[in-house]
Amino acid sequence: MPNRQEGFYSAVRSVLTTKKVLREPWLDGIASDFASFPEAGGVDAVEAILETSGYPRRAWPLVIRATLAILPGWAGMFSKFEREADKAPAFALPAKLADWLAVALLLDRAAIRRAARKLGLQTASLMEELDAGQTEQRSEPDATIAFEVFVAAQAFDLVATLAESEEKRRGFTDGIARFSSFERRWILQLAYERRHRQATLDAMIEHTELCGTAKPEAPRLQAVFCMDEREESTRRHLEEYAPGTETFGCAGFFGVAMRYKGLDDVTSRPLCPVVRTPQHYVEEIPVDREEAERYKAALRRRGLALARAEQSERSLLLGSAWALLAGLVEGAHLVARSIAPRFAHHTHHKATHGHHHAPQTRLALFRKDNETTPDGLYRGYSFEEAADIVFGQLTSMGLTGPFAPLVLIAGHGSSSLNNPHEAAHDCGATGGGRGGPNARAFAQMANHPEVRSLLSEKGIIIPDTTWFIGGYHNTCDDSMAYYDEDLVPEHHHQDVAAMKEALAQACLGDAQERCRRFEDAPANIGRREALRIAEAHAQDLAQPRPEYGHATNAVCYIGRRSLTRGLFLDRRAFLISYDPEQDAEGAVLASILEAAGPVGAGINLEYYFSFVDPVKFGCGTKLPHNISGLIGVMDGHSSDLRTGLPWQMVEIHEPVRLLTIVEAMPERLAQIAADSAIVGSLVGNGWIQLVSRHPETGEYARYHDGKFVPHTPELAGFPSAEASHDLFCGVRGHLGFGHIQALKEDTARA
Amino acid sequence: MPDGLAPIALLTLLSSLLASSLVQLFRLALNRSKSEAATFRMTVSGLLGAAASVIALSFILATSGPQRIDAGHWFHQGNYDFAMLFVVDSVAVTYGFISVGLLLLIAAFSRRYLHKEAGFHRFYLFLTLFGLGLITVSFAGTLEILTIGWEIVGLLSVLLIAFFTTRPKPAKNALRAFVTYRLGDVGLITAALILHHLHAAGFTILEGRSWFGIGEGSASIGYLLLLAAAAKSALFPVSGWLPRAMEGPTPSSAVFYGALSVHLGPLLLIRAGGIIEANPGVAAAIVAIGLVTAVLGRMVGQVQTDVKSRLAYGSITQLGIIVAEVGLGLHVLALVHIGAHAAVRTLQILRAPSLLHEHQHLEQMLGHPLRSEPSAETPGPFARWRYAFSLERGGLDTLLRDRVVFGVLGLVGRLDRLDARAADRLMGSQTSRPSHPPVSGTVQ
Repeated sequence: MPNRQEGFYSAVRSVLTTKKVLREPWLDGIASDFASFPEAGGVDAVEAILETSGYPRRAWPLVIRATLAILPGWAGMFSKFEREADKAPAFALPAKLADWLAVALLLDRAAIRRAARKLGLQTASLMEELDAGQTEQRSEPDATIAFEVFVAAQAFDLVATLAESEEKRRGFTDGIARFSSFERRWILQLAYERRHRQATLDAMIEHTELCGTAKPEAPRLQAVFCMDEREESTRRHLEEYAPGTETFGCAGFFGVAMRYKGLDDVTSRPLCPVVRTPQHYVEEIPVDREEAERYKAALRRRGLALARAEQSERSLLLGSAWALLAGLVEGAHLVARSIAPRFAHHTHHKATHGHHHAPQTRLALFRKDNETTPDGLYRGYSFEEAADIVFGQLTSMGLTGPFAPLVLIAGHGSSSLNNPHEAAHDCGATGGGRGGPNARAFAQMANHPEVRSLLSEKGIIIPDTTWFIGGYHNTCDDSMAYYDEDLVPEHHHQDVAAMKEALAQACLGDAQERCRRFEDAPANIGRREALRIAEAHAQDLAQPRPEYGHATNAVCYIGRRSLTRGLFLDRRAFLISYDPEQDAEGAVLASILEAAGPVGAGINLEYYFSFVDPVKFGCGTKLPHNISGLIGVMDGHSSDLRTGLPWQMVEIHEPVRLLTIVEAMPERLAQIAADSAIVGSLVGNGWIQLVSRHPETGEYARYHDGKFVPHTPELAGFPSAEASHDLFCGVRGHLGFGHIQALKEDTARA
Repeated sequence: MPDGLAPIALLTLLSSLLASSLVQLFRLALNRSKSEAATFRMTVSGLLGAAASVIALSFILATSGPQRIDAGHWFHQGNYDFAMLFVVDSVAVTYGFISVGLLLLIAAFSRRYLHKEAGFHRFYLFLTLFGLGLITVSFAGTLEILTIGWEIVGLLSVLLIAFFTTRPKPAKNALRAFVTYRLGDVGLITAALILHHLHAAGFTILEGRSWFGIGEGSASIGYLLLLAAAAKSALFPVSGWLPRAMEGPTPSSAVFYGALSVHLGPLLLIRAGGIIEANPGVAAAIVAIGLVTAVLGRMVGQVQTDVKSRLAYGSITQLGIIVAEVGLGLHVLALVHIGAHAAVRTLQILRAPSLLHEHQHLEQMLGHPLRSEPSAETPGPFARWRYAFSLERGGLDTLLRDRVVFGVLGLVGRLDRLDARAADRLMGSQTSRPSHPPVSGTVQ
């Protein structure tokens, strides 16, 4: 676009003022409009346009809001790139919301002028008429109420009673009229949430009564996962298969807020919650530079061939020749892709990656003498910083010892094909990135002798017999990968082998549990078959539901795992490990709530709104989506930039506000909500439901209108089974809670 | 191979698709379509039947040469004779292959892509009917039979653009395609009329490569067929409907506007090869329109920012070149080009949602960002004009809408009012004919 480096207004101006181009008739006179306003656009232009448009000054805010709300997706994208220019897909261009607004106002003006001319009106009187039209529409017509009165009278069987007197009829009608549709929906929402909350809290109470606080005595493996509710099932299956395992959950960046550049990456990206700005830069570097050069050169050769094919397709004659030649080859590939996606992926992968394995790498994690990058980030961490991170994370989870011989730190992400919303399946705690590098960095920090000695000064003693290992869980195809395996000391090899086997089994169970929600898989599918289906979903061009992502999220539990171990939560709960006994001051809890609160509530509300209004807040069905400018999707040929999540991602969601259960005293929670602006607004404005579980008495109380109201159990009992599998196998919809007996028994001897 | 097999194979071909669509239609009408698997099986068995028949026909073609299948005469009227005539030649078999093959592929792809979509059964019904239309066009032996298939294809294309009924845009853009198609039909149907008027019984089918071996006095027919082809294949100046047609589910965009429907234009012109050869003027017009389409398609395509518009203009560019090849008489090259282009474009549209993924992957392989920063210098006046011109799609859409469509509608409105007035005068009283509102803003 010409002049685009000077901003949107300037670019549009330069295109629309170009002479000798045939345009839509309603754009007549737009060139002289542009000539009469500041050339640079921005706020000045907005003001000048509004000044001359005949809107009274007090109506300006209304006009601006209405104009921006015409295409909220595009306007929002301008606003985003204005604030975060480095998020631009290729290179940053000046983006200003005011530029967008000025252009929209000018186009509006041209359209109004055209409409006025057609109807033979002055612009001013046209606006008056538009205003009048709007006020007319606002009042609710009586017919609607009449219908509702009719329906309600039938529903309550009041037809005969109402027929008795005019007075009764009037009273009933008034009542219905006052009980507006908004209020009705609000009450329905509250009732829906109550049902869910009651079941959850009762399940927790009953589970504690039955199982006590279950915890393996001398764990063989401690595994730290992301708080993500998708890891709930992975953790449960891992504990079921290897009961000597203790699992933990935390925000999946593991306290390592960094800007990261992988070996293959072209640019670096932040891997931390979006509310944090990383101060450190970490790069993945090859062990053997020559090998890496060969690998990169081979990649580049194939990349160039691909890029050339794409280029030649854009040129006219070469493009035809290319189309002729490539047609048959592509055709065969297409057939394979559509009919047997998994097979096609494997053969294709072998053909293209067969000879060049990715070289061995390390993270350049620790910095020497305060080196910084050009943009002012530290090049890696100092040992003190690393020790602080490890200390903070371990105490926050309550993982302060005794340590198991092996501690797994597992980040997660998701990969799928043909899916513009791929990143929405990645880890929210890394800002929509993949948490593998964070896990790897954390393990590397915790293994370093220097860091360990600093830790022991702070009071956490990690014995030499304990080794940390970083891992990465792909939640779409349910595969696990591990980092820096060659560094594992020999006496841990057996532990690592056992861990890998346990996790492979857990992933099988996880795949099976996930597949019951896919209607294209049988509900009582076997484990191996389920894994194959999960893999196929990840590699299928035709698959709009590679995974269901966070669609089942509903609960967030912040507390000791021992309270939920052995409780079947149906992949519904974010699980954050927190030990109130190790947090006398409440500082740890405050920081957990500040970090995890916005992440959990953000995810939950995104699903909530995309589900309750898929047209306005969600982005509708995926099928006609059309990627525009590498920044978003439109519906079909042209539309607003669609925000929110597609229906295929949210269709099984249960729209409740995140039920956040915290193992802490009500007074402490009230204090944190009062002190922290973030937590205060989430709780006070009702974006989440907050419940306190008293750490000593085990009583539950719900935050309501500024105070905590005790929870009254309505214990109805719930199923208990030998293993998770018995609870979910053969069932499609949402499941209630359940006990896993296997874990209860094994607790003692593990 | 005995010649008697050809009619049987053709009958199987048409009836397997017809039977499959009828069963699906009844199930849909009776609200019996509950199982996605059953609908899928019905579609695929229809298409497999068709595929087997096309294979059989290709063997017959290879062993006994081109066939002319006379399925009887519907009616005679004076010296007009509606013959149910089909041909089995290399063009028909090639296009039959491409059509059935790609439809099978799309059927397999859409089973997972459209899973749980409300319009699942409707989509498969459309797909089967569309196949029937394509096969009819491919194997038609007369222009009338071809027109039947042509209309089926057009109608189904429009219905699929308007597949999503919850937003107004698809219906609007479907209407635009519909209007363009009707414009093309004027060409096709008038051509059929003239053909009969001039050469009532004079068809010589299978003479050489093309059907009508008519020479003199057929230039008008050639131009009219070019009009029909232009509308169907989004050639200059009526390209505007094609990018706007990307409103349906991605697989339907891929197969209908990316691959099969749009190639019917060149196919029609290949069929009319005899006329083109006999009339250098027509040939020149075809080549010219093809080349202008290609150049314009490329210019406009370059300024598109969304993947589906880019692909649509990529298609338009290639279609222009294919049509030019037909105009030059390079029929074999054109046929190969059609096949290859259909396959490539289908894959490209199917994986259009992967754009972000693939962009990133390519950058990783190259080791540097794909696009360089824009240069700070101001573009020259010509570059600016070219950009603005391309962004407005050459102003063609505006021109066509305001001058042609609204012009015709205005004329029709005036004639209608004249008619009403004349009728009033004759009847001596005011008739209660509803007055039409002024036509405006219906097509945008």
